[in-house]
Amino acid sequence: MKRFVALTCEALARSIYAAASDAPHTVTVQLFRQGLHNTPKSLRATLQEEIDAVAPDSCDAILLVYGMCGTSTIGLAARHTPLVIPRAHDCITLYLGSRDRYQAEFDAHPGTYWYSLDYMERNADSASLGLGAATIGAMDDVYEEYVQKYGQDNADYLMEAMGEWGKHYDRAVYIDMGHADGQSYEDIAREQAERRGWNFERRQGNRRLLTKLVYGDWTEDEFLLVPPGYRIRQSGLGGLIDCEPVDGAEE
Amino acid sequence: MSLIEEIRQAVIEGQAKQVVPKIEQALAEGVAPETILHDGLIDAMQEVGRLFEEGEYFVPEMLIAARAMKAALAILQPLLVDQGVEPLGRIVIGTVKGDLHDIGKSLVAMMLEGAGFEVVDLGVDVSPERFIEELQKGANVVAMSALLTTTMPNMKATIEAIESAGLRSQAIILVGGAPVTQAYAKEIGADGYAPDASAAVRVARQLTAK
Repeated sequence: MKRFVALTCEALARSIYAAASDAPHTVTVQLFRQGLHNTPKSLRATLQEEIDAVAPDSCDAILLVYGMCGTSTIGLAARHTPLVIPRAHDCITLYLGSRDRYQAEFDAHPGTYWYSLDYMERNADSASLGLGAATIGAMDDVYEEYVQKYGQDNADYLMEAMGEWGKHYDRAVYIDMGHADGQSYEDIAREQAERRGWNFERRQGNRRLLTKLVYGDWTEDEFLLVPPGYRIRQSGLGGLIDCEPVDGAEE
Repeated sequence: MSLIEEIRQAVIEGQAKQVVPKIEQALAEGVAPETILHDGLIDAMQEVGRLFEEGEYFVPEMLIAARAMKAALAILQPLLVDQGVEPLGRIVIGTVKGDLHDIGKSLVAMMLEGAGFEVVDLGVDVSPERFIEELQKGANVVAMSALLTTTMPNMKATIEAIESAGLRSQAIILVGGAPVTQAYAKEIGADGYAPDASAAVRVARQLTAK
């Protein structure tokens, strides 16, 4: 039996508890606030601090239960204990169970707004319940501010320009991980989608990637193992990420 | 304050409605369109870029300044064309295939226009074929953005398609977008990378001047 420390996001709380509860290893889960990916530098700094705070020889590996999350996990360095991270863009891959499945969904409908129980139940700002998108409801609040600062004509223009992306979205998907009372959250997601004129769909989530992670089944194609003295780097060559020695790395 | 200075100031402050009559007045007074372009608009947008880099201006201020600049340019453009004023380069810009996020890209497009480039903005979700078409029509710079790591690989795919079409040597390729880094740009074979709209203008100027 091995000992792992799992650093993860609130958005994956229930799923990682569930996966860890059956794992043959001892998994200590540490949650970090969701939405930190909006400021990748600060999420990166927070995670590195936690990695650095793990005492040498206190565990066999530190599991980063994150995707790239923008560039939030790029540059994270393993000190004395190896890091393991799924090769994923973000939590949607982890919810859906594989990178291929997310890619297929993405290719079919790039303009998709994703919902999940964990994210919604822990989101204090009910106006923006979708995964990762913090701006959709918050725009109403800034309108008044814009009118005062820049005049109504400019404020109208800014609302249009900054809300433009929403017009390119056409689908909302609720990912059901099978936890608790998902139905009530699915209903909220459906209502929001209807209000915005988007198609609504529901997908069954799959914990396989999270399970593989906490079981220590780190196959090369789906996980990156970062040895001590190495750090995570973006890769344009297919596996999304790889690693490089911290010494001599390009800044 | 001279009329040109008033135009410059109105652009910096994003007062589109004030800019237009001032341009018309300047033209009526016989000021050359090229002078208005350089001393009024381009100079103003340089100042906007500087204010952004200093942390004085944020995206909304840049957007409204760029809008005012565009309103002015709409009046000047036909006159500049008549007088044979050449743009610094012809840039085709868009978000890559699958990417639907255009605030950053649009801002870069407007800043490039404000710097004296001719810009063809293809919008969002632009296929490699569309970029190639514009290169065939005479564009010499391709500027691509991706906001998501999901769509970043399509930058590489677009560069490869441009290579296959035999157009790589005539095209300067610029990339940007939140998850894109200098190292990634280098890895996929882009010529330039810019972390923001102000830097995009600087990089485009440098690369087209060579």
